[in-house]
Amino acid sequence: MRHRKLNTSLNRTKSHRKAAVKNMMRGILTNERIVTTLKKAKVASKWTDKIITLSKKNNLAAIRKVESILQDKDLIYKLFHEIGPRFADRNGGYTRVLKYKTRRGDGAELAILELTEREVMSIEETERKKKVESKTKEPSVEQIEQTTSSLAEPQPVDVAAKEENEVLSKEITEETAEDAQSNAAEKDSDNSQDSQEETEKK
Amino acid sequence: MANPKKKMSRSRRNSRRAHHFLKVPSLSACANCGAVKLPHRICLDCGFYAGRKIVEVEERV
Repeated sequence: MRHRKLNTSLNRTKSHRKAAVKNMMRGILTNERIVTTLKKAKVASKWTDKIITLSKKNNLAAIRKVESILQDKDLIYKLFHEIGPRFADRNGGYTRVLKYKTRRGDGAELAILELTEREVMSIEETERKKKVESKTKEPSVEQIEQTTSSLAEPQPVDVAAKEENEVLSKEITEETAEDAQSNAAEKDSDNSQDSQEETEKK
Repeated sequence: MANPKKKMSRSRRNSRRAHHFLKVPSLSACANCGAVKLPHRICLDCGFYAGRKIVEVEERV
C-alpha cells in the first residue's frame, strides 16, 4: 500500500528531479537551512535524512555511497566530520520542515527546511534542550510521588485527609486522582499507608 | 443550435449560486505575540513557531 508515502514527480523528468534534489541537499548541508516550496522541502528532507544516516556509519562503503550521490569532496568531508557526529545521539529526524508563507509570484506554499542540530542554535532551542534533559532526569521522583498519592487518595473514609493532601501538594492533578480511583478497586490498602505518605509529603 | 426551452427562474438561479461563497480560512492566534496567523505555520508577525524564534521579521513601515 502506498499509505502516506511521498510519491511526487515535482513536475520534472527523472533526471531533472534527481538533479534538483541533489542541489537542495547540497544547499541544506552547506547552509543548514533553506527555503523552498513545501513539496520540494519534504522530498529533500527524506533524502537528506538518508544521507546523514550514511554519514553516521563512517566506513568506506558509506563514504562511497555518499560520493555516488553528492560528488562534492569538500561537502562530503563536512558531512562525515561535522554533521554526522553532531547527530550521534539522535535516531532519525535529522531535518525539520516548517511551513512558512506563500510566495508572492505564484502563491506557492513555502517551507523552511533545516537541520535539527545546527551549528549555531538559537537561544530558545538551547533552553528547550536543557529542559528536555532535565525532564528526563527528574520524573523518577515525580513518579514515586504519583504512585504514593494514588495509594493515598482512594479511601472514601478519610475525606479530610484527602483534602489535606490536595492542599499540601498542589502538584497532584486531577488526572492522578482519576488514576487513583481506577486503581482503588485493586487496592485493599489502609490508613497506615495514608499517614505515612502524609508525613512524607510534609 | 441547442437552446434552453424555458427561462431559468430566479429561484433556480439563486439556488445554484448558493454555493458560490468565499470560504473563511481557519485561523489561529500566535502563542507568542497573539497575532492572527494560519495554523501550523510560522507567525509572520513575530517569526515564532512552536515556542522558538525561526525567522527574523522586519518592521513594517
